[in-house]
Formats: sequence, C-alpha cells, structure tokens
Amino acid sequence: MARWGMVIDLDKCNGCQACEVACRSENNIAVGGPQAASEHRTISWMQVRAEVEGEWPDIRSRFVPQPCMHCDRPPCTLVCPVQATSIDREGIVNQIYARCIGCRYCANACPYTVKFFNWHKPDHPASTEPGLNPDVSVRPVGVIEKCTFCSHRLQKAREMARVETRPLREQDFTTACADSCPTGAIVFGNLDDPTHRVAELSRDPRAFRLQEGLGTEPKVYYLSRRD
Amino acid sequence: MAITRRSFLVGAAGAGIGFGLGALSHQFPLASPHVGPDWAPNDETFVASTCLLCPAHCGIRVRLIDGRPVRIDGNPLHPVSQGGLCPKGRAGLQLLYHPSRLKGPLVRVGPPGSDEFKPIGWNAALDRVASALSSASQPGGATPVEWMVGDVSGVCGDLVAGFCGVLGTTRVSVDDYRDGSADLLGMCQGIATAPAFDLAGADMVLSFGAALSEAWWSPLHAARARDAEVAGRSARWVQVDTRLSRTAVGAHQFVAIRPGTFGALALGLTYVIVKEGLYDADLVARQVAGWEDWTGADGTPHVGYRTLVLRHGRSDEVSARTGVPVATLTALAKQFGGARRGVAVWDQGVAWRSGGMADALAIHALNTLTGRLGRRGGLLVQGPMPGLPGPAEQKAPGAVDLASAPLTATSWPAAGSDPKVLFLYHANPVASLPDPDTARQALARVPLVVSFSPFFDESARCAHLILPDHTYLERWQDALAPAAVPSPVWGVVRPVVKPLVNTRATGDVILGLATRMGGSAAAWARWKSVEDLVHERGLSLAGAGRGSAFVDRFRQRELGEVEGRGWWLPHGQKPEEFWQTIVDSGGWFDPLIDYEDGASRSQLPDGRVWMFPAEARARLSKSGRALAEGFLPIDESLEARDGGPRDFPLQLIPFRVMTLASGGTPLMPWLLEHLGALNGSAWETWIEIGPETARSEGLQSGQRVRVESSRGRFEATVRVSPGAQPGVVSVPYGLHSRVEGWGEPNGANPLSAVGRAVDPVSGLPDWQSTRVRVVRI
Repeated sequence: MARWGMVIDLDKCNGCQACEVACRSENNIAVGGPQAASEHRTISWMQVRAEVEGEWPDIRSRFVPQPCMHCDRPPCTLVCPVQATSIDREGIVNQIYARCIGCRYCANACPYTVKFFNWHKPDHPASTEPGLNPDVSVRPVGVIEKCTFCSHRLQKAREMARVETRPLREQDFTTACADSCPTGAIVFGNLDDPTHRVAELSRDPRAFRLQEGLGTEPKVYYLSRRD
Repeated sequence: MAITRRSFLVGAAGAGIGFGLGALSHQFPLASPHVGPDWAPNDETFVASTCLLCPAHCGIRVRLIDGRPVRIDGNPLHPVSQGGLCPKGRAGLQLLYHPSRLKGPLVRVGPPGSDEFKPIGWNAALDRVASALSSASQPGGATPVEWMVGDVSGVCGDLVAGFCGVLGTTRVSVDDYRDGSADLLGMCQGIATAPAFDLAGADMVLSFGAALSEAWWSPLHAARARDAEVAGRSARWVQVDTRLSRTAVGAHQFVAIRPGTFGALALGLTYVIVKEGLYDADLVARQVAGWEDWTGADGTPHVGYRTLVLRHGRSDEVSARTGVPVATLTALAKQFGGARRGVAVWDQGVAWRSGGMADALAIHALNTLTGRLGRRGGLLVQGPMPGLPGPAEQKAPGAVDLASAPLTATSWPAAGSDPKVLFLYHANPVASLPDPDTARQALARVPLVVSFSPFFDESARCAHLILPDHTYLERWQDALAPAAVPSPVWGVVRPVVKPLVNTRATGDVILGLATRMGGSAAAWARWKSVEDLVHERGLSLAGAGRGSAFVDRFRQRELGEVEGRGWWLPHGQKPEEFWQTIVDSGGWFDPLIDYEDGASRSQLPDGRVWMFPAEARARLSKSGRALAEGFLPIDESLEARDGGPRDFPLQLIPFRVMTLASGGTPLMPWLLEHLGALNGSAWETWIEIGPETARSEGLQSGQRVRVESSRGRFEATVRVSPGAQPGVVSVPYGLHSRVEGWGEPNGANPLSAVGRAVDPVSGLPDWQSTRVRVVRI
C-alpha cells in the first residue's frame, strides 16, 4: 500500500510561482478577482509564501510553497460532521464536495490554513469552459476545496497500470505542481517505497515538516540548509 | 392540540424516514446520470509549439482534450527551457479563451475615443488599408507610413521590416527591453550583438541587478543553471541589488547596494582584484587594450583603466559610495577573481539610467580583466543561425533593421512626423507611454490608424480599423532564442487549435495587403501564407549541415560532443521528413558552443578587447552627469536631482517582475492573483518601502497613496518590507494596460512619475533618476 507524500527543497525554490498557476490550470480553480483578494478569500491550493527576516541590509529570506500537508493525523477530518473530508488508505486527504455542508469547521481546524471556502459562486466565463480540465469537477458555491495531491491523476495512472497488467511505477503519477517546477524543487512519490526519491529525500538531514509539534504528521517534507 | 402517543409515533417515524431519505440522497441521486449515444472517452493529445509571451521563447507542450487546449506545459525537448515553464507561459491559456477577445475586424463609426465601432468584412477592411497605402506612397520620397511594434521576432519581424522596405518607409519604432549591451560589445569587441552568458557552465555568477529569475532574457535558462554542478561543485550565485528581489532571494548571497552605484562597485572589485593580483597579467597584456595608458590615432593621450581603477577604486571610498561593507566587497572580489569560471551579468537595471553605460562598461571590464570572454562559463556570443530565407532578404535598400530601430518610449511621437497610415502591432502606446493624452492626441492626428490587437485595449480604441491577430496558439510563426542564450535555437510556433474567432494572422494580413497593392509589393509577397514561409525556413535548415530537431537531453549532449569533433549526421532524412520532425519536436537547435573560437572574444582588426575605449569616453563625457574623469561610473550628482531631497525626499526605482514582464498580464487573471510572491500583492500596483521610510513618512502596509514627482504622479498600495532600502520607493512596471471583461486590476503606470527621461549617451530610457514624495489618499 502506497503512502503518497511530497518533498519540497527550499534551497532550490526560486519563488517563480509556476506551481501555483499549474495547480490552478490542472484543478479548475476559479478566478476570485480583486474583491476576494482584498478579503483574503482567493482560492489557491498551492501558495508560495515568502519568509523575510532581518533588517536592511542584512536580510534573510526564502520561499515556502505550501500545498495541503495531507497529514497522517489530519485535524480537519476529525471535525467534519458529515465525513466530507477523510483520509484514504493511501494517505491522501480527500474532500467530497457533494457531501460538504459548508460549515467551515475543517478550514478552522487546519493549522496550515490550506482549506478554502467558496464564498462566492466560482466564476468560469462561458468562453473559458472549453479550457477546463475534464478530469476535475468544478466546485459549487458554499463548499470547501483543497489540494488533492492531484488524485485524479492517480486514478488514471492506476487504471493504465491495470490495463497494461503491471505495477504502478514512480513516473506514472506525479502532481501538477511537481511536474511544473522548473528547478525540480518539488518531488512527489511513495514515502514507503525506498526506491522512490521522496522516500530518500524525506530522510535527508535537511528535512523538516511544518509545525511538527502539533502531532499532525504531515506528509509534505521540506528541505533547507537553514534553521 | 394535545399530542397523543399515536400521533407522536407517526410523526417520529415520518421524520425518521425523511431524514433517512435525505441522507441517502447524497449517496443515490434520484436522477440517473444521462449518457448520450454519442458519448466517447476523451481523446487526449499533445502538441509542441513555442511560447511567444516574452522574448525567452520557451518550448511549450499543449495538452488537448478532443482538440481543445486544456493545459500548457513546458516542452521537455526544448534545449533551453528543458520542460520548464514560467507561470506566464502556463497562463497563456487564458489569453486564448479570454471572454473579451474581439470576434472579428472592426471599423470606427464614431469620433475617436468614442468606442463606437462596427464589424467589417476582412476583404473590405484590407481594401481600405491597401488603397490608403497606395495613395500615401510617394514615388522617390519617403512614404508617410509608420509602424509601431512590440516584441516581434522571426518571420513576423521580418515581414514588417520587409513590408516597410517595399513601402519605402523607415519609420518604425519598437517597444522592447534592449539593454544597450549590443552597443557596448560593438565598441569593446567589435561585435554588434548582445552578449550571451554561459550560466550553465559558470561556477560563480555575479549579477549586478540583473533580474535573472524574473524579467531577464531567459529566466528558465537561469533557473536551470543556478543549481548546476560545475566541475564537481555547486555554482555560487551572488545578486547585487537595490532591493530584495525574487532573484536575490533565490541567490546564494544577496549584496545590498545604493541605487546608481553598480559601476562604482565593479570599479571597487576591480581594484581589489588588481591589488591581490587575481588576474592573468600576461593574458591582459596580449589581448586587452585600454588597460594601460595609450595614445590615440589623433595623438591624444589617454589614461589607462588600470591607473583609473587605482585612482578611484579604493575600497573605503567605494564602500562609502555603494553602502557595501569593505569586508563584503573584498570577499566578493576574491571570490570572483579566484573563480575558475565566473561571469558578471547586467541588464536594464544597470543600463536604463542616465550614465548607465559607464556602469555597464565597468562590469564588462571585470569580465575582460579576469579573462572570461569567450570562455566556458563566461561571456560568449551566440553561435550564428544558418541563414534563413524570408521577406527581409528582399527588403529595399535603406529599409529598417528592427534591432536598431528607435525605441517607442524614447522616440514617439516624433516632432513634425505626420504619417498618413500608422500600424500598431503588439503595441499599446496609450497605456505604455508616460503620458496617455499625448499618445491619444498623436494617434488622433493620423488619418488611418490600424491596430492588430486581438483585444479592445487603450490604443485600439483610438484606431480607425482593428484587424485582430490570432493568439500565438492559433497561428504559424517562428521564434529565435534571445541573444543571451549561448547557442542558437529556432522554435516553431504552430497552431495548436483552429482560430476560435474570426481573427487573422497579421503576417498573412501583410502578405494580403502587399498582394492587393500589386507591382513590386506583390512580387515581394511571393508566399501564400506565413505557414508557407515558416515551412520554407524549416526546409532550409535541413540543408544547413549542422544542428538537429529538438531531442532529449542525453541526445543533446551527444550531438554537442559529435559536432565538437567536426562531425554531423544528416539523420538519413529527406528535407520534408526533417521538417516534420522539427514541427513535431518543437524546433531546431545547434548544440555546439565553440569555446575555442576567438571571434566570439573580439572581431576588431587587432583581435583585442577594449576597456573604456575612446569612443565610449567621448560619448559619456556628454552624459550631462558629473561623472569622475568625465566617463567613470562615479556620479557625484546622484543626490541633487529634481529640486533636492526637501520637496521629493525619496528615490523612485521601477522594477520588472516575471508576472508583469512584457505586458499582457491584465489579460491573464491567474497571474493577477499571484503578482508579488514576496509580499502577496494581487490585482494592483504596489510600492515597496522599508520600515524606516514608512515611519518617517507616516505610512502603513495596505494604505493607498499617490506617488508624486516633478513630472507626474500615480497611485498605488503601500507594502512595507524589510527588503526595501531606506529612502527608496520601488514600484513594479507592467500593470498599466486594462481590458474590460474579466477581472479589473487596479493598475497604474509608474512611468507617469518617471516621465520621458532619456539617457543621452545610450538613447535608452532613464528609469532611475526620479525623486518622489508619497502622499496618502
């Protein structure tokens, strides 16, 4: 049984934001507009955040791309009253839009603030509809959405492997953000398979996870030479 | 009514059934999904092409579902971008599907600026333009027809240039981001092209304000190169900059510097390198001119750069001037001097300033002194493309060369120039120039303004005819890699989808106009279409005897090795098969970088390379700035512009970021939602100020302000950042255009405050000599 996870090398990330836009394109994330931006309600499953410390001219800084952490002990699933969000057998934290009643408990329970509520009807102008990815459903107003580790790609890859009667290989399934990273900072794969790069990188001496003290056991690891 | 036991039980049972059905309805929707008889699984295909959204021209691979583009990825076979793509390249999909795309050609029916247009047929529109061109042409004289173009490359640029030759006009202005380095290489090395930087082979890259990860010529080339291992160890990238840019965050070291002192730092670094003996004196004596004192052909004695460096480059003085501590300066100089394959890089951040050529010369001298010209990991000149057939070959004598045509920003509108016909191609002067009213008035004076914009932008609104171009995903074109990349790449731009609306490729429109005009013009336009022309070029590459269609990375390296030994395999293909391979893979490239070729170091008769040659000294002496010795990059007048610090206490520095580079961003909401990675800005123009400046000016993050100079003003939102230098207001350029219909960014043009300042030495815009005040609104 796979345990899907991600490693993001902060020493390689140059903050280009290709991952953010690739994620939007892959997952049909609607444009929020200036009003949503001013209310901090822009939906972006992948967010490149900047950490800037110090005083001019001695500045330390780095970019930290943040998708859903797909925690092994996800707090969001514990508070959902309708089981709209749950962790599957392979460790992907799902969101079932048809079940979601929009209570936003999960968004509040998430310590990484990576769950997004559709406050307004998502806007996909008619002329842009042919450009939507048919593998991913669009969401209605009033539900929570989040990064799925591009699980629709996993479904396709698994079916393809089944048709070709072979096991799923490392290169068969990766996320849109990892695919798009021009510096190769994002690596995706099975954390429990020692032949996968993520498994090796997650044991790198530089590896850490966000807010490890909370005990959420995130499956997104970061690599950084700095503290 | 009393509740009996029976009624309670009935009610409870009913409620239970109701709740149960409600819960089950989530699992089992009552209506079964409808699958029509014509249902079939989606057909997924991928098409390779080239991105035209900025001059980098990266390879793209478009995913299509049933023929509809649904995602743009990088083309893994492209030798420069190698499968990478910036956010802008990915967002190109939104340009294609934008709800405000013009559906077909339009003709003005109302007065200028009234927005009253009506549809017109393509034939009627072309007839009207052709007759205007015919009546405007004056035999023997200069035809009063003018072109204003943006970033055009390949056949489209050649078609414009060739068409101008046919029409007999030389009036073309270009809206691009040249940085004057071609001019500089011409003076120092006798090579009239911009330099290439072998970033992938460099073990140290010292960037003087170059936006390598942002708006540089090829950010993907830089992104790939930064983490490369060179000679068994990781490369070291140092960013010297006036603000904490995204490039600075991504570099291994950030060195903060005061505005306008890049050249002074280069001088200081040279001083340490000389004092420490970190250069090859023999090599310099053999290959470099201008280092020691010399006497000109006219008998004028000149002081050599070595003497000048020792006179003006003392570390304590340079440190005081630049704000870079002596220890940092010394360490940097030792690193650069000691690096085996280091290179110093600069771009518009250095050159777009009054007297900026002096700074660029000092940075170039660093490369020259340390022997980095024409070396692996150093400053190169891109290998030549095989000659491509095309319309510019047949241009009339005296016709335009777009690479040296004047910049729109510095030359338009020219006084006394009254064209009868003006073409706007990838140009929106009303939005991009500092003074929209002047641009509107100039457009209003022209009897026929023809815009090729696919959108109803500010300048298209002032046109008489709008002949909308296809987007780059719907047309044929070709695109060369920028000069900054070491080896030549010819990318094919091909339609990945049939045109969605009734638009027409501007190249085909030009050919159509020439055919309509008859005579020599019709003879010039011998191609059926741009596709025909691109095809002809592709076939000519089959006979070039070098290079290859795009191949994977291992084959790229293998081909480079083979070509380096003087071999070339013709692939055993017929020209048509070769062409098809080029189209399928995305383009043609030549992997060979000839480091032994002395011609990439100097093409001057004596084979030497100049430092601060006499021509540059003479030109710089007319800069109007108080430069040391008249030409060195030490400017004593930096503090005293625009009435001094009292009225305008802050210095304004516009910068360019990846999401806003090369225009078009207002059409791509995905980019608008992610404008500033460093401060989370979205949908609006912002200014960056440091905490100290915020305190002294009484400003806070999020406030709306007006930035005022003696020349003009613009509005923006304040972002207080520790990465902003005290006394400096930094502002992103690029959010000035506006197209209604899909999100409304709150953008501004910071050039309104900068004005039309031009550096008299280089002819480039002066973006960094503006002092401003910030007023809350």
